[in-house]
Formats: sequence, structure tokens, C-alpha cells
Amino acid sequence: MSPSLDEDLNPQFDERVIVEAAQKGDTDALGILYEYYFPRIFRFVSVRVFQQEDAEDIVNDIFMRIVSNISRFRWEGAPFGAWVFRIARNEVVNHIRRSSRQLQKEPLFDSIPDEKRDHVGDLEKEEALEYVRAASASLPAAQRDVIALRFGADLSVAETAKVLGKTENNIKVLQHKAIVRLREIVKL
Amino acid sequence: MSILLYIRSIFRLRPSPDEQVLSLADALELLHSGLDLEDVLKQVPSEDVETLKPLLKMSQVLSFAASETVPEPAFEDNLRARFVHKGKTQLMPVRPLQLKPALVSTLAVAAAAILALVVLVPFATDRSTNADVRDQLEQVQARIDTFTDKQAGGELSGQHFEDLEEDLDKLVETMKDQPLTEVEQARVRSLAEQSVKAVSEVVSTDEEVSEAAEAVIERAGAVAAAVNDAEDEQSESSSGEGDGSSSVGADGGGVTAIEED
Repeated sequence: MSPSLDEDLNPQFDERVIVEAAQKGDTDALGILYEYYFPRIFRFVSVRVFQQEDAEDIVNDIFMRIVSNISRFRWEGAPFGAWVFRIARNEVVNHIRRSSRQLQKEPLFDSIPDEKRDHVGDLEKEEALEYVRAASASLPAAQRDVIALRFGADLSVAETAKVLGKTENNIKVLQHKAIVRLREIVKL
Repeated sequence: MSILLYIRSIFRLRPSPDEQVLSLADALELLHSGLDLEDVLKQVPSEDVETLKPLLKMSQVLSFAASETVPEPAFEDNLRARFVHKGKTQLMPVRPLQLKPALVSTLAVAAAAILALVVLVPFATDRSTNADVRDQLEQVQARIDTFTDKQAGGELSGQHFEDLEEDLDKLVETMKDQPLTEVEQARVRSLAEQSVKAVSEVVSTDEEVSEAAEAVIERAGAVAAAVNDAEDEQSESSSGEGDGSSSVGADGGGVTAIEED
């Protein structure tokens, strides 16, 4: 996770000014929002989805939804970033729901090696990354959301709580359970 | 060791589930703040180190896995372009192009010149059509068509304004050197009208776009003026047939007058 976590969803630019300009179609403002959120959204989706093509499709849909609905966003309660990631999460969930039939036929769990094996020595780049992603996919949905937002999108506990509509304590518990479970699988 | 210390040591070695959750959350915040793993472990209670170390390592692997996922640059650039374009076309308030007063005057002159051609007594000649003129007329027509298509498709750029402006300039230059037939003059009139109409339909709050549109309209005005000049010359050489050159004043209208033509 990057050291700049505290600045996530709290960008250096005046987000309110930029969002209001973007709501009027200002291309510079739209560009700034895109540059800021694209890498976070992409990592968030990539943690949840295995295939790069699927991730790109979902990220595309997310940004099209953002731009289609940005005029409806109001500064009431949740920050803009929470609104963005709710859209992102919904798109990911919809995608997974749509492809659930294939997932049932080809369980992701198949790609997770035997838990009894010590895999520490196997953690070599690509294979290891795929392995960790597969392990993450085996988590319950709520835990997956937390892992994707915390470690994919680099959101803080408080921000993750706003996106998911849960308390910070809930997020901490889910985070703990997820990491313990992943550690058991990966045998780190 | 007293029984009390023994009991305490047991509790220290086995923190409650809630304490484990909070310890991990606190340790992760320290990691996020930029400390490396060893420094974080120095700041947590010694009895928690054994439990937290593998969990923090796991979190580092998760962060690493996420950071290693890199999008294709082409995908990122392409999506950016579509995101910004969609935002611009869907969100930008639509309002008619704002024309400066001076420009409205220019437009009125152009419209007047065009209307003058309509009411003028015909000065038909039998001159054969000059190839340069014909080519330039077709070039301008093609440019207007492209402009209109691009505008309809939301793909209009500054280059399209510049291209149209440039071709109208060339048309004026060509008309200075070449006498025009009546048909050609009518076609020039039509092109001037189409040019003004096309750019007048561009709606934008972008100052650069407005300026580009104004430049094209000025060129259209120059084209119309050139037609007038040609007409004057031909009127003089044809026994002063008609007085149309002054029959329509500068208040002959703006875009509306042209559209009523």
C-alpha cells in the first residue's frame, strides 16, 4: 500500500471546485478527475477480477456511469470519492453476478493450491500474484470488498466504511478476518 | 512468579479477538504512514509481534499484488478521451454561439451581399467555367460538408474551423483573379451562406471555439464582399444595368436573413 494513503480521496486539488466544474462539462476538470481516480479504480477492479479484459470492460463501464451520473451527485453526506467507489463496487458486483454461471462451472478455488503446502517459497512474481488474487477471490464477498478497497484502491478504514456503508469497526473486523484467512491459505 | 502475574502474562500472550483486530488495524495504519515492517513491529507490544508479523506481511503481499496490475496505456488513453468527450457533450450547457457586436455587423454585411445577389438584375455571361474557380468551389463545398458531418458526430475540432477559414480565403483570392459566371456567383453566394449557417449552429461556451467560428464568419463575409465586387465590375461594363449594389443595406439581417434567403 502506498505511503500516501492519508491523501486518498482527499486529493491535493480542491475536489469540490473540480467536481462542480466537471458537472458543467469542463474538460479540464473531467480530465483531472479521471487522472486521479483511474489508477485507483483500475487496481480496485483488478483485485476483484482475474482477466485483464474483464477488468478493462468493467473500468470502462464504471467511468461511463460516472460521467453519465455526475450531474446528479450532491455534496450531501458522503464525499465524491465514496460515490465513485460505490459505482465501481456495484459494477464489479453486477459483473460477477452476470458471470456467476461460468464461475460455478469453473470455480476459482480450483486455482488455489493445497493449503497444507508451504507456499512462501513459491511467491515469485506472476505466479504468486495470481495465487494471491485467487486466494482473495475465495473470501466471502464482504471481506473481498474490504480487501479490494483497502489494498487495491488504497482507501483508509474510514473511507472504506463510507463506501460500503458500514462502521469503521466493521471494516476492521472484516479486514482482520480476511487477512487471517488469506494468510492461512498462502501460508506466509 | 505470582499467580496474578501468571494470569496477566496469559492474557498478554493471548489478546482478545477485539484486541487483535484493533492491533492489526493500528499496525496497518503505521505501515500506510510509510514505516517499514520492522519499524512497525518495534512500535507494537512485544507480545503482539508474533501474531501481527505474518498478517502484516500478508497485507504487504496484497498491496504488492494490486500495484503490479498495470493497465494498457492505450486503454487508459482511449477511455480518458471517451470519458472527457462524453462529459463535454452531455454536460456542457447548450446555448447559441455568442457573437460579438462587431461580428454581427460583419454577418449583416455578408447577408446583405448575398441578398443583393438575389435581387440584382441578372448579368449572365457565357464565359466558360474556369477550372481553378470550379475546383475551389468544390473544395469549399467539401469542407463545409465535412464540417457539418463532424459537428453532427461531436468530433468537431479547431482544425475544422481553420480548414474552412483557409479555403474561404483561397476562394476570395481565386475570385479576384478570375471572372465568375452567374452560376458561379450563385454558388459562391450559397457557399457563403452555408458557411455562416454551419458555424452559427455550433454551440459552445468555449472561447476558442467562439473565436474560430467568428473567424470563419468573417471569411464568409469576405467571400460575399468579393462577389459584390465582381458584380460591381460587371455592372459597370454592362451599361449600368440595375442598381442592386446599393439596394440592400447593412441592416439586411443576420443569420436569420440568410436563412430566409
